[in-house]
Amino acid sequence: MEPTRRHLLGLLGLAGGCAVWPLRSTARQAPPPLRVLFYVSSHGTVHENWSIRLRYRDNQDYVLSLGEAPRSEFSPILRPLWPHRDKLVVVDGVGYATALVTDLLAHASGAATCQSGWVPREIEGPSMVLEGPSLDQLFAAEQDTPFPSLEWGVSAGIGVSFGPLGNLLPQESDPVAAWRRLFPSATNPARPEESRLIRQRQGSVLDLAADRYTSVLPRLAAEDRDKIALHRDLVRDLEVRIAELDAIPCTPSAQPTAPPPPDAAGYPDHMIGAFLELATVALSCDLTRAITLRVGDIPTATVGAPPGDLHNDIAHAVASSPEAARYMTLHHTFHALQIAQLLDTLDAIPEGDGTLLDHTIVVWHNEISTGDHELHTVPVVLAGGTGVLRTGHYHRFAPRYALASGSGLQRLGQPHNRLLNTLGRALGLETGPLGTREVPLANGEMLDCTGELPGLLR
Amino acid sequence: MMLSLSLSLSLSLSLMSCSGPDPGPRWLAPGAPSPLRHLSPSQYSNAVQDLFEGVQLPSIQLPDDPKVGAFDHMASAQSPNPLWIEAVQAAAVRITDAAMEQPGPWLPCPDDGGPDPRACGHAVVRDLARRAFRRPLTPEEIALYLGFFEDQLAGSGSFRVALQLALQAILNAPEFLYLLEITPDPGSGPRIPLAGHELAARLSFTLWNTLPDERLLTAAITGALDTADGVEAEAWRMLEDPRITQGVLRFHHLWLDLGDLDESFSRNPVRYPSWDPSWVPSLQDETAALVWRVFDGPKPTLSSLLLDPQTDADRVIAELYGVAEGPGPVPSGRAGILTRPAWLTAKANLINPSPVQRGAWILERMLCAPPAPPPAGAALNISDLQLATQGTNRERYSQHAADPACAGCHDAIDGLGFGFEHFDSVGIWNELDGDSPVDASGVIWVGDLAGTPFDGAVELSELLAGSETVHRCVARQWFRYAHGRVETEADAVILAQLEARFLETGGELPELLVELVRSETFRTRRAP
Repeated sequence: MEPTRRHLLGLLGLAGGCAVWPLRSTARQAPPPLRVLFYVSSHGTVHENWSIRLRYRDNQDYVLSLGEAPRSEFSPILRPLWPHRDKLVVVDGVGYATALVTDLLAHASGAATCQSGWVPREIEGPSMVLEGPSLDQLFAAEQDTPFPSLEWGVSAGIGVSFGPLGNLLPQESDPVAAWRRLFPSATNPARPEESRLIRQRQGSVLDLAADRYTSVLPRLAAEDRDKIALHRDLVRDLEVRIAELDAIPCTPSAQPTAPPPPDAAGYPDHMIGAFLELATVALSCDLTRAITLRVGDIPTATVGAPPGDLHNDIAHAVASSPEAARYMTLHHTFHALQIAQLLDTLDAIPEGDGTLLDHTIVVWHNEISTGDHELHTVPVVLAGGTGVLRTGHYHRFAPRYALASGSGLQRLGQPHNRLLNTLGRALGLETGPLGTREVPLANGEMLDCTGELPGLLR
Repeated sequence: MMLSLSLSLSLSLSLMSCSGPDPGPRWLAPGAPSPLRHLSPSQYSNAVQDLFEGVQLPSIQLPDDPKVGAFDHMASAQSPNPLWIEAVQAAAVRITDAAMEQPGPWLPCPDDGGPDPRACGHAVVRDLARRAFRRPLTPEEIALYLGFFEDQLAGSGSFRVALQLALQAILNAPEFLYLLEITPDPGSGPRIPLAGHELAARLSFTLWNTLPDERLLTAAITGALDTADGVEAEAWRMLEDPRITQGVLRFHHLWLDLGDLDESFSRNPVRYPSWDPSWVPSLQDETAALVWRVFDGPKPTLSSLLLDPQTDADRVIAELYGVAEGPGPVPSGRAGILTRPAWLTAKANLINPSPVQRGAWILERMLCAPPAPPPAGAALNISDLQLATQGTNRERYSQHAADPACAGCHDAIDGLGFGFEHFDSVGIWNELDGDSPVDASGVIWVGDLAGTPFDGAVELSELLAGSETVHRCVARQWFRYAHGRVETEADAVILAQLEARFLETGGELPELLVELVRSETFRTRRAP
């Protein structure tokens, strides 16, 4: 593995405990850096209440201008986003071709492919491995921020971020622990000087550790070397991070308060709110440029449904029960309200010639298409990133490609890999097409998953 | 399928060498790889507690790796990541800070270093590194870590700071965090015998879920682990040590998915008004006590695990069973692990029990025939809230599986799962489902019992307890647990031996563990 820039800084002694790091306030950077925040909700959507469709044109692609649309023309689920319509790109009609060609559980295969574009491979049981990292990690690897990326989770959704070796990355699920990572404090308040010395000298501890990883490398079997080399590089990264965090002028947000019980109606709002507040600080201070917030099953009480299991009792019943469809509509609207609040916040922070939102691509997506495990039409909303995205539009991609699945043909408008490719280029990646390049169609021909979606970028 | 199982059984019996003189190395093929593993969160916690015996350590929960099947320490799912690396670094700081605040046997001098801080620091660093790395250090390593301590002592002017930093370096080292198996081998065979200390670590993390003790470290040095018989002798000693509880209970905790029950585990408050997440430890403890009672008892068999009729009811269990607190038999309708509230609750929805979860678990974990997941777009409308359908739990599931596209898998899944219909989502016995009597009849469709009908969980437990397929599968689960990987085709012979031994002994669990660790696969690694 090539040494990273951080690694080189470490070798040059710039990452030691006493290094004075240059200020990296984003206000000084011209132009401000581009960031990405993935907000990944669960259980697809209720399409009749999510999409904005033109009558009689179901079989045609079209683009709607959102800027002139009155609020009433927004679908019930997307309506909370109407105030931000000039900074939105809604994508209706991409499907997980790379998950449909597997016979794995749709939640797991969709989660594995939604940010990576790879056809996932099951090890055994629920675990997936990919042939490479997900988009957020490819982008993170190019950034020189203290944290290459942050992965957070509320209510244990299946993870969507995959590291350089194609393995699932863990999510931090405690906002207080996430806050402590961003804003570390003394370990032992009773001995502040000792704590300070120990933190100051962590660089030396990690330096010795990294050397030990290097020293065992040559003696390992080839298949194990990647793990130890990665461990070594991550230790070097941490060495730099500790020094950087101590040097970056960033006013900490208040420590998140204790959440209500996990089955209380207000739990997800509290948790998501806490993480998004941290996200705002982390992005504005340039502590990281890539964040993924994954939200799993929220309590049924949050959407006013009887106590139960949102996944099994409600999401699975969307196709057969109008009551379930109503609850799931409220569920997706709940997430739209969270996104709207995030956009309000990011758009209120001036940065460069615009706002923080203009320099952040917010991606609201999902591991699945509908509550009953369809994978063909994934609801995707992009927001912000106005320097690179052609915002203010709704893109409909009509069903075009038929793939065989266990329950019959599934038709999708565009393989979602093309959305990832589009986002990759928007984020400045030069890696070429992401994930698996082609998958078989039901007719035996191959579906080309390379290329981009038309009309999304400036 | 039965035929091939019988064939592999006779083949393996002819290959068995469980007693008598060790035949020595005879591997001809490279066999399966032994991929590098790091310590699981529970292994890490146990290990640091062993290193700082007597110290009240802060609660350390490293990030979990994804599970592979039942287990959370599988090499294929482990990959270094920033969150884990940072958690390890932060844990080392917190652990050494706590230890320094509680000088005890681990620190042979006052916490300021006493009259000779250098000598004290050297002694602590040498001893802790040896135990953390599970082997004597090389002279170069000793020089490195002692030199680091000295540098920090000179740089900080503080014994406390320097010692903590040196110990943190050890806790961040690959020799501690990983099960490194890299000792060069002069031979040229396709498989390499593990060095004594490498084998000692495999033994201790498999059987005890923690570091080797001094006797095991000594055995590694003296060559006592160089033969299968030597390993067997050591394994029997380890089975008598109290730490065996840690390993045996960890396996069953993972295998039975009891980790799914946690402090936030909820049930429907209308249906279960008295449910309290604080019940969870009671549920887990009852099953753990059953497992340990069987393992430590006169008949430590798989069959006993499935059929043991005893409990030692605390307040919660007594309430769930409708019995008095204290030791005694479980009420009728119950038997061993699959009829206890822990597993029954972990495998249930918030309102109604889930024959799908219960049946799928038996297929995957006891018959090693995991069902395929529902295909994308399959009808999934089994709603507890009856938003979609009405009727008894069984009727709703039966309607669901009537779809021919679903029946292929659900006959096998629900056929097992319906056996537990008397037990609701907190494991309480019910005679009625709504107004209808519970129908807990079912049919096993997989393995040597395919086609066998049964009525209720006790009959099902009895059938499973006598099944060859179940015994083979449980041996396979232990193989995965011990090796931190799923078996490959190259493991066929060794697995057949293991399964045969398990069957031959009537399902004796200690015998299974001993056979497992004395196998060639356990004692060797594939040449790089």
